Amino acid sequence: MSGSLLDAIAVVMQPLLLLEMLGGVILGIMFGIIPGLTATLAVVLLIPLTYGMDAISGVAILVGVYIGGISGGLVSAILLGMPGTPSSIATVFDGFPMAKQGRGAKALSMGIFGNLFGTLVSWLFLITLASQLAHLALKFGPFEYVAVIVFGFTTVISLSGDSIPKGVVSCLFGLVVCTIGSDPVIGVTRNTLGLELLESGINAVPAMIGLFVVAEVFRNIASESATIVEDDLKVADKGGITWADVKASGWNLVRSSLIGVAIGMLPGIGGSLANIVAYDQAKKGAKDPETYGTGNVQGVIAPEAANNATIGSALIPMLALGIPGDVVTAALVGGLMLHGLQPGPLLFVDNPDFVYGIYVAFLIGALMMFGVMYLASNSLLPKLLLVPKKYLLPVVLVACSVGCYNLNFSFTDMWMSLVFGFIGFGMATLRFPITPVVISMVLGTTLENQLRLALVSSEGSPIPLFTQPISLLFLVLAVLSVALALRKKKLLAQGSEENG
Amino acid sequence: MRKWTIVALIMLAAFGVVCMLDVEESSFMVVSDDLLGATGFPRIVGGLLALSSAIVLAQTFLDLKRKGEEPISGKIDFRTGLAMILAVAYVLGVIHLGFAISTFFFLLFLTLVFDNLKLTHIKGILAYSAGLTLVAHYFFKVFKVYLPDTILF
Repeated sequence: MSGSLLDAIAVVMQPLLLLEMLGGVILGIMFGIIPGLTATLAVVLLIPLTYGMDAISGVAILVGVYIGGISGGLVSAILLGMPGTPSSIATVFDGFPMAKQGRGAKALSMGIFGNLFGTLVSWLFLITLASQLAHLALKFGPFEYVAVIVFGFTTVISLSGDSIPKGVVSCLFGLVVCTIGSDPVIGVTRNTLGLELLESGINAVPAMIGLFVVAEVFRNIASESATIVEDDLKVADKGGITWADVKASGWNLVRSSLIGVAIGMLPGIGGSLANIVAYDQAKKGAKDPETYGTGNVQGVIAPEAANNATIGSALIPMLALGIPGDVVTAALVGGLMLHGLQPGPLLFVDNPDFVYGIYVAFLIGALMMFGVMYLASNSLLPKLLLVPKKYLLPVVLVACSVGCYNLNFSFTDMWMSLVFGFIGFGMATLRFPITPVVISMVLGTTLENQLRLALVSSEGSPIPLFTQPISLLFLVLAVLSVALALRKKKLLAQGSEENG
Repeated sequence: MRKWTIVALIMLAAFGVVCMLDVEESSFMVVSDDLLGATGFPRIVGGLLALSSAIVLAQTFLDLKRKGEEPISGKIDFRTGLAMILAVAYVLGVIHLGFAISTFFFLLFLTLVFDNLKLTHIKGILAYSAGLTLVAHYFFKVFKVYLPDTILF
């Protein structure tokens, strides 16, 4: 074992490979920052460039791109209020208010620290418990999946503030949109309203870009400010991380990272849910929950630690069982197979040097990401706030269009981002929460698949949903989540009545 | 704003009903054990959407009667509408003409819209639009981000 580990370290620590990894990390960060360009796209683009390399070098670069791509999403979420990926949706809730208060650099620094912490926690799980955790993840049957997703929906609805009924409507709207196109099990075409354009369904990523980014650009046109953030607050702080910050965030970092690890292991769910659940738990566990959504730094740390913790945990079922946890790990499996490697239990026996190589590359990639982003967050990135929005936002729309086209090389995705931009503008104007639409679109297909599988396995009975321990646990959590949100709403209503 | 909310909720409820009743477009395979089938899930969520929209609709009606109309939180002013039309024209341009030429005109006109349609900075905006189009084109080519094949560049 030690021989293989040393061999792997020797391979990964070659100066040329380190340089290539650094390039990969920077490319990933750039793709993560630009709304519309995703970590998946960056990994897919780089796969052909790794053809000629040995397996460890090729996959090391791809892992670097993956870490950079997921981490970069926080920049546009904090500075522009536009999440680059579904994994950064919850980062907007407090990150953007912090930027508007002149604390953008601080939000970036702490978010990046959360990224590093979450990545390292998931790395620890990856190197120590990969096999055991992968088998634990396999214990999640269809009923457990249904319960976890229902819990996810109640979490995101409970974050809808004072408009929980509208949150329910938004969530169901996303689920109905999800059913448009081919049925995921037998390929029957559904709910296309007679439009050929809708036969292939509606991809969640262009919809998310439309709802969060395109709609936000439209909303910015009517506002009077020349920049996204008020002129006198643009670069008021210097950012950085202090020991007091770390101490104050300790439990939040640990809890959020563990949430990310646990959710990231479940194929098909991943970072898009982890960041919301971590934010919700941070808010519920806080002494000052009323400050969440107004610029509380803990509301930035929680989602960022959780979404990066899903990176390592998504690699666990991929390496140990050969099951990719999300689209990026599916692309990584493709990269592995190009080099003649088959992920799964035998990989640890037949190619231990390769597995150790990934472990080492993962750690180095995380440290590189932190170094690059931390340096940039204290110098280059806050300058984005100085760019007048008349120059910045048109470019964002161009990047979104190109990014959407590159998802499937389809014009339909470009149209969808625009259509959902109009829908998002209308929803924001009428104060309908947008996040539940995106989360239900991301998880809707998995929910339908698992629900149908569950009912097949139980011959039509929903009873196991309430009798199996794991699913019962998540259903109880779902009920508690709604009950707490309703109680909070009642208390707020009572408070406002007493005040006036 | 409540009146517009009512309109939106009626549309959502109608969408739910359509998706519930008119779900299946084509079918070539039936799996006997699959109890929900291809139509079950859309019918359930379509029905729930219609129901929840109706409940919120009733609540909004009551609020309108009790508290009256409230001001709208955002607005579609002339410039926002123009930007929306430009965005549609841009997608059409990228599809039918070409990325570079459409991007140049899109950046030019959208920047002008953001600038309150003032022509005082037109030279700078022209230079910015042309320069950025070239940079974007080069960036996407270098990083192998594919652009649609069209009749122009």
